Amino acid sequence: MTEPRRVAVSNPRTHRARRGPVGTGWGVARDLDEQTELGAVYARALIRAQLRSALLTAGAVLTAVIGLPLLLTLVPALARARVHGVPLAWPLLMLGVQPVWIILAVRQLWRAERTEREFARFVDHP
Amino acid sequence: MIAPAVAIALTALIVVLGLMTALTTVRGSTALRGRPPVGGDAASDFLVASRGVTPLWNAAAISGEYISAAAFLGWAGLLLAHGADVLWLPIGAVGGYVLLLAFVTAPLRRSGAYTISDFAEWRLGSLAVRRLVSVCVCVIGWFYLLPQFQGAGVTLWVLTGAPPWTGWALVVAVVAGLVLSGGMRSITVVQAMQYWVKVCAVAVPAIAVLAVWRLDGARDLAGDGPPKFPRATVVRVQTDVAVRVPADTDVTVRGEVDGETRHGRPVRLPRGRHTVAEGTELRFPAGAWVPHAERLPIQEDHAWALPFARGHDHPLFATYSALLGVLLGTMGLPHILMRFYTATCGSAARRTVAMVPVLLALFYLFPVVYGTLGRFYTPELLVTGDTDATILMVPQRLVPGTAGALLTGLVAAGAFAAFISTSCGIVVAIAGTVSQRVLRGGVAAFRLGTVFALAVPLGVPLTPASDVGAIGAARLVTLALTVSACSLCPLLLLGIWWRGLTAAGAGAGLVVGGGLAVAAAVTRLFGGPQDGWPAALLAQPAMAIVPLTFAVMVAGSLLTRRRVPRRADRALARLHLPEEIINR
Repeated sequence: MTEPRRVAVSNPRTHRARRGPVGTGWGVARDLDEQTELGAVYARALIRAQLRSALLTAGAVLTAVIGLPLLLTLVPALARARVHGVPLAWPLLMLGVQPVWIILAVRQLWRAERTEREFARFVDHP
Repeated sequence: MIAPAVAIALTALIVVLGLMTALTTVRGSTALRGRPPVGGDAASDFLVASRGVTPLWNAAAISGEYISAAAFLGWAGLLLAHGADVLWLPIGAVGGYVLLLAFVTAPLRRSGAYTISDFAEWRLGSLAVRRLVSVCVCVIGWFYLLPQFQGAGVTLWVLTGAPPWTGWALVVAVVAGLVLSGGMRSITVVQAMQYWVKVCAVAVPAIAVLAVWRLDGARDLAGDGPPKFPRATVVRVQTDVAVRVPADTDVTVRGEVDGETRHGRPVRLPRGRHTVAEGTELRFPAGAWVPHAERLPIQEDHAWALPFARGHDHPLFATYSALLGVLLGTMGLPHILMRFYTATCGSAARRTVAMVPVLLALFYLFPVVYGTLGRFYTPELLVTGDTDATILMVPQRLVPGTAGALLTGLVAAGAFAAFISTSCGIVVAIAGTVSQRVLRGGVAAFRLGTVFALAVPLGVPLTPASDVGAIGAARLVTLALTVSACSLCPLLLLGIWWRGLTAAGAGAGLVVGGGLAVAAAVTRLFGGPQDGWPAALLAQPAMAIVPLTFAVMVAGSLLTRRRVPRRADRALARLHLPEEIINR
């Protein structure tokens, strides 16, 4: 008679289970994992926060993109002004706007990462 | 005329191509050999390079792929012809990456899909939408490939006098070889290196040319009338062209003008429109007015130097619409979006894209030098309308001899790097999209897709009356960007941020927006109205079509509200929750 072969039963989450329950065992992380109503509420809050910062950035981009042509049309004296013989529009459009884009990109990156960090901290210690 | 330039430029080209091919064979073969070539594993390795590329490499690769014939050749040419009115284009291009970073990058990477088609199918659960997105990817890709091939034709023609089709053939052959042998991993390395090749190729000659111009007495480029030939100039007309002469001009003609054949007798061309036949040689004395190809505006120098100073139709609308098309179009470029999948996670992808504006802004500093100096040193390009050649002609015009030839070679090498890297990216994107579902995946399907991607744009010059050459590289790329702004961009924005998007709404929006944009682009490609609102709208339709597309998508989704996918909330959570929270 042969005994059934022994099989190790394991679960990808074993190491986490062995660590024991986190807090009360009903943490935010678990809500998120199991897609409960509460988890969905948390996820929605994160999405809203991210959308807010993305819209702020988009607002800044659109303000520049709408404002500059308008400014140059409405105040032709500004476009016609010359700096060292070069019409002001050239340095303004060539050198003035790109740094703004770079700053906006870095700010957006920084804000999105901070939102995520805060969310992760909240998930660990609600 | 430029014999030493030819030799040196060709050597430069061969070095660049050889370098890339060597890299590809080494990297590509290890990438292929390293894994068993079975099923999806090899295919996914092939497609997204196993997602192990650092942000800086990836950012350089994205910038390298984005700097195409349009940025390299086209923009300098547009500057030469249109002046300050086109300074907006790079602003839109780099600004597009800020929006891409804010709205699309991290969520798209977190969706875990390979291509936009995969994303659309996963998000909306609809095969029909997937097919529509695949069609959009192909159309955008083809519109984007055309100017690359066209630019290669112009470059080779300027360097060697070879007919344009040789340039097309060369680029297609190299791209096919690279993509078929290497897949994407090799291309990431190659693309990143090509970004630096391009920056050097545009920066070093620009600085040299500027220095020569300063030594030359830094002459004031802005006169007070339309451009004149600074010295006696001979122009050979390659194809029949209609020109407008700003004022009565003396010229010696050898060939056919206005249907009359002349053999080297001087004539006075009265102000107005004239036709010049193929093969005609025009000899202008120093100080003669420069005739302009019919579709280029004749601008006095001070109007050229100021934005909105040219009295053309609806300048503010044209500017806004072009800016909107480029801003939003950058968000939906399939070959750029595919690059995010090579990042390890959503926040790595985000960090990658945050570096791109720096790299692009650096590149965009230089082409302006060629455009402005070209106005004075190579005005004959305005006669034939081949303004795409500006960046190639200016160095040899200012720096004669071997040094000039070397600089031209460098520019040519950078130009070819631009055509090849962009084409590779697009071909990989199209082939990846087409092969994944239509051809049932696998490396063989990917190769078939590559052939498919390259074959279609090759057919365009064969169609009668298409005017690819006359439109110019930058305008052609703007067409592609507009199609992307009107189709994939709304889909991505709504799909990522609005849970209420339904397959029906998205599909309707893609059909309406993409359809209208393509219709406008094709009309443009084959002629179309020349003045008034219809022309302004057709030339830059983004302002009208983008809001319409959003409206159709939202309205369609609201009308089919009951069919919002049940897992929409889960999908949105997956898109926005950081990986480390989901995967713990």
